[in-house]
Amino acid sequence: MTVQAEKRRIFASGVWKGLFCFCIILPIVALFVVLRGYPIVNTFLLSFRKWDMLSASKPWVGFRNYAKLLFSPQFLEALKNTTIYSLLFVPTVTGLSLFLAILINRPKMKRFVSIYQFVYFIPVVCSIIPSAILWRWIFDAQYGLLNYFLSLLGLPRIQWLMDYPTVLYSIVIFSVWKNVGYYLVIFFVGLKAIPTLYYEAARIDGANNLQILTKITMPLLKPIILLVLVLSTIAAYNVFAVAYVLATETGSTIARVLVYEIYQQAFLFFKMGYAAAEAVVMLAVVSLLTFLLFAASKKRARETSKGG
Amino acid sequence: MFTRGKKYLLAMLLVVGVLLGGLLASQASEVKGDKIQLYEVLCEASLFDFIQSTIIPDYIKENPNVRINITCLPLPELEKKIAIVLPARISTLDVFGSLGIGPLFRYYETGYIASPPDYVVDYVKESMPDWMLEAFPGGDIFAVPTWQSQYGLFWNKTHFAEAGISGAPESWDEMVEAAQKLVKYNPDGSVARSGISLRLRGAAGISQKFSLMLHTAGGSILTEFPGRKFRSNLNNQAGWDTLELHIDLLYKYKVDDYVVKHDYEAFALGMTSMFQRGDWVVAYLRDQVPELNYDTAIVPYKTVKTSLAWLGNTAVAEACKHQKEAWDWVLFKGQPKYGKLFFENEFGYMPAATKVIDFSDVLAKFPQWKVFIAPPADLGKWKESSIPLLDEIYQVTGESLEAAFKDKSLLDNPTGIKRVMAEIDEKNNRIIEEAGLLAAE
Repeated sequence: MTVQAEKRRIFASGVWKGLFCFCIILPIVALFVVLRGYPIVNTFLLSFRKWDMLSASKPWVGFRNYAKLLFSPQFLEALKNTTIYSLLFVPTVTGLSLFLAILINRPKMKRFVSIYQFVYFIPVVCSIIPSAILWRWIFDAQYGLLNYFLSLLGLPRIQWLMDYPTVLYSIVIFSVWKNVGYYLVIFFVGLKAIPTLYYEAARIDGANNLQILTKITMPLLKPIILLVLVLSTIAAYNVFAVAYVLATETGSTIARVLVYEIYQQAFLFFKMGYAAAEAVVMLAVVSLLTFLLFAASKKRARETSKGG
Repeated sequence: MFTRGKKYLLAMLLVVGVLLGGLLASQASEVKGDKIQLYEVLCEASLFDFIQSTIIPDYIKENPNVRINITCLPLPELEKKIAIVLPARISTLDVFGSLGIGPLFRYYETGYIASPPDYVVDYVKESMPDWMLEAFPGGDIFAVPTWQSQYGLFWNKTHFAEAGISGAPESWDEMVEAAQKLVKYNPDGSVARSGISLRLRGAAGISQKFSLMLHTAGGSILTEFPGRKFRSNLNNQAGWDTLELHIDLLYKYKVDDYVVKHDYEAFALGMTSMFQRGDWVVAYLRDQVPELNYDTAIVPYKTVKTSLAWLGNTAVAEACKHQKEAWDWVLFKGQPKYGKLFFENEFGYMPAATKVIDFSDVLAKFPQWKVFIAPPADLGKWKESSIPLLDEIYQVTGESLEAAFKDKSLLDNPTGIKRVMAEIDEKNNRIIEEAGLLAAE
């Protein structure tokens, strides 16, 4: 076969491969476009209109919805609550799950690893609504377990779900309990992926446990930590069910969060255009935070590599 | 022999073929039986059970060619489903119940609810009390009232007897005096048993329960004007008096607080001596605490004897392909015999068709229902506004009231109370104006 013919054969083969791969992923891509891409674009376009879901017309209002929400006490309160919740939830769940993962990754815990993973993962697989209802009783000001334990210590009762900002702390406590197992498993996988020869070499060089943790484990775990931070931040800003059941089900807005505010505006007040604008702002906030996390991680990586 | 390129081509064609085949198969596999399928959604679980176990078997005997598919959803999910499905004109929602006149009217105005045939309208006019017919804006009957809820005062007879109070309070002053005698405190000063259980949390619930007292003072959250225009109406003597009453009960007389349990659960547990709620609580107490020694009375009033009467309605979607069968089903399940059976044995919400139902045997067993079924002749009835923005108005009003209830500085502070009510009116009127429904001042 001549070189030209060989080149043509390789090119044709590549084209067919490409087409084949394209056809294989086409259904998934099509589903993604239809179920994710189109609604996102449509929501963005709807945010510039006024629509009550029932009328045939959707008059163009420009940036009026955005201007309104920037001065809306309800939206600003929801944004504040959700941000406070995220600032409390993300570091707590990340730190706690990492700590637990490191604990159960120790050699003497090898026999019990599966049991611990199972125990910590149970809350993850429990349905959120019954769990939240159960915790609502734990947080109950009069009959709750938490206040009972406080009374044993001689401490006054706390209105866990009735006072602000205590209600946010309560939601964080529940969310950490619910999700720590999920991130623990992610960290555990990351820990297992670190080659043991690094630890062996460190031990030979006389490194203690703290030095091994800070100089070997943590740097090598950085991509996983970044993943957990991003996932937990996105999850934090999407908080809805737990806040709704614990604090909002009775209609109280003591813990108004962004997703509930969007839901309320869209499906209770029939202001789809305004709700769409709120959703776009929420998307922008979460995207910005995710970008900042990645940027901070890359900057740190650059500094570390420069330091040698 | 196949070259590599042809193998890839064949594989691609196979994948595309499988996809297309699946799509076509899914279309072809739709069951097209000879039965008419009707889809209904409602939100009361016990009603759902009752319909499935009692009404549908009877219906099938008379209508073997119709199949009723019922879904039960929590109220927020029901409202969301209706809000999404009705405008989409999807035929998987034919009949829907459990909504008040206000929310339904929004859909009727925009053409998503089918106009009932004449025989349905005639049935409604013959079976329902006049106040229900008046609840329909403009007198246009577009749904069938299915059940109703009246509101009253529940009072614990044992607590009252212990406190030396002979009967239920009728006026605000009597209510305040009784609550002070009934309240009990913990060693730390917090309320152990509230004299009266106020609604202090939950914006929409606060608005509704606040309105119970507000109307007895001659006020209302909204006033409707000709041409379906509205104005918020809290910044007046009735509004000030009602808010002042709540502040006094909380901070001057200390007959309730935020720690003690509230509402019907508190009443069942004996943690409150009286509270105001709908008639369904009678069924709840009958099932949960049948030994509780209590009675019911009209809502204590300041100047006007009146109480909230709420109507739950069933309507048919305009997109329904079998509207006649759907309306026939609505009338079938709304028959007085089922309404009374359900009322006696299950839920507690009264059937709407009280004009044609004899409740004397029910009252003999449960006299607590009397104030709801056979109220005093001079007791007025007020209905919630049919403004499409009612949910939002209630939410905004309730949030402001929720904050006001926590504000101790409003005690003996008429200026502060007037400021709160003026602010609520301003917020509500802004919402109404944005919707183009604001009446001139």
